[in-house]
Amino acid sequence: MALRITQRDVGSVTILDLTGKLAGEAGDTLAERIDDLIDTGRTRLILNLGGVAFIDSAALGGLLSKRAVVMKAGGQLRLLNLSERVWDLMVTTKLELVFDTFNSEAAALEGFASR
Amino acid sequence: MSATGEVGERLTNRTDARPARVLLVEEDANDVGRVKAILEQARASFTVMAVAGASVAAKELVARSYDLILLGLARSAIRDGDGFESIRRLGQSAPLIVLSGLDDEDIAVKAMQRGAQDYLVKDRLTVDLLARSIRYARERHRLLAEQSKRLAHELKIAAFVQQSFLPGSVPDVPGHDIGAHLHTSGQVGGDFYDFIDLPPDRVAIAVGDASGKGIPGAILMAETQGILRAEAATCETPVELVSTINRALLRDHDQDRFVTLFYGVLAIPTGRFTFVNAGHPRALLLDGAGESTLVSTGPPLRLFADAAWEERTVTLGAGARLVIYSDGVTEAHDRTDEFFDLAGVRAVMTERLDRPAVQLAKDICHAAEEFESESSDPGDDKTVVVVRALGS
Repeated sequence: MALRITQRDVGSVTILDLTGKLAGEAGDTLAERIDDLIDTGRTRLILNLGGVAFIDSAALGGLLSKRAVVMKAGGQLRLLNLSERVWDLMVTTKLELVFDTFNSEAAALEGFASR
Repeated sequence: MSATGEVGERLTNRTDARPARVLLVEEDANDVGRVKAILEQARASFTVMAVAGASVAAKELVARSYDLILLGLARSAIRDGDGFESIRRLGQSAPLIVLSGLDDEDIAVKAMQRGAQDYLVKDRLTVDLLARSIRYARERHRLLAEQSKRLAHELKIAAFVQQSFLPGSVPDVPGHDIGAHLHTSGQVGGDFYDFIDLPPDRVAIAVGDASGKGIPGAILMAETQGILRAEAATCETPVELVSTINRALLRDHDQDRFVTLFYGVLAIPTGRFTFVNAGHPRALLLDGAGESTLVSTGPPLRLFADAAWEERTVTLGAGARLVIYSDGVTEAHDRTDEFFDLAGVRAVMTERLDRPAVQLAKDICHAAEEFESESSDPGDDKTVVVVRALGS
């Protein structure tokens, strides 16, 4: 169930590269990590889901909730490199209309830069 | 009577006057001698078995029961997490106190976080300190065991109550064979299914999944199913019912939990099945035309006040098989992270097409459980409802 989180800062944007399954306690771990980033004023966030095989419904709910917190703090939470399975989950739950999703890091960063 | 004597006496009383059996896991012979000497001073209330190393300790814990484990950390192989874990697991009926070196306090604190009752620095041990720590550790351990027993009892009752929410029987629908099976991964879960008679000639079929496992999922599931049962008969259409449930659930305040729901109404004489799929996995329909899937027609419930759902209608002609399931089935995965998926559901259905609906539902659940049996991840709740339209 382990989820590995690696942080990269690109200017004012923080990218979290995630590897593993975003399920069970891993969802809480990621939520805490996002809270820590918000506390330190980093609210331009990209979650790179390229290494995430699967997201469970509790973790998906957690992402939605953190998206709202980040937006309230004046930032954005973007999703990058969704696998086919994760994209299918987004389509099924219609959350592809809610989250900003990107297929390339450059595109995800570019959107932030133009703000 | 000295303070030490009082402590020793209380310990003796608590264990029916027999000496408390202590397993001392310590590699340093000097430390073994010192701890034994200190325990002896606390009156003859203890019998001490000293062993060196985690593997010997593990064997000892398998062979005999102990009232207390004193675990020395310094210069020990027990520094590694596995050694500690095996001792804690094998000796879980006994409180564990860590005896650390001066430079091991961070390890000792971690040990506390993983279930040790206390830690003491070896170089600062005194009779009073050790005796008091033992007394408190045993008392805390006893209270924790009681709490744990009470919690297990309450969970058992909760599981029984939740089981009673499920329909006692599947509806007897002319021309159709309907079956259902639900498997919770823990004692209670967030999945549910329901059948509601809508006289004179319709029956509603619901399969839902509240996000979150265990008690939070179970409470949300109960809330959703309660609203569904109360409102199903008064709502004209599936969309109206789903919207009504959504509005009711949004009165709660937390934002991060939701419910996926597949809700359809079967018109018995015509076989027309009108459904809303609120963020739920696609249902599988096998009939004379081949295979089709009944995909999501709107978001899950309890997320958006302005959500809208589309209603779709399919006809279950003679010989059609409809399978509605929760994501615990398709997301069952094995050790190599291969998923059971829709392909797994399809495989069971194709192989056993003519079995009774309830048997098909069970077969699909069991196949998914079997598929994930060697995965290290805990599985999710699994629900399958099968509707067979019988030939005329």
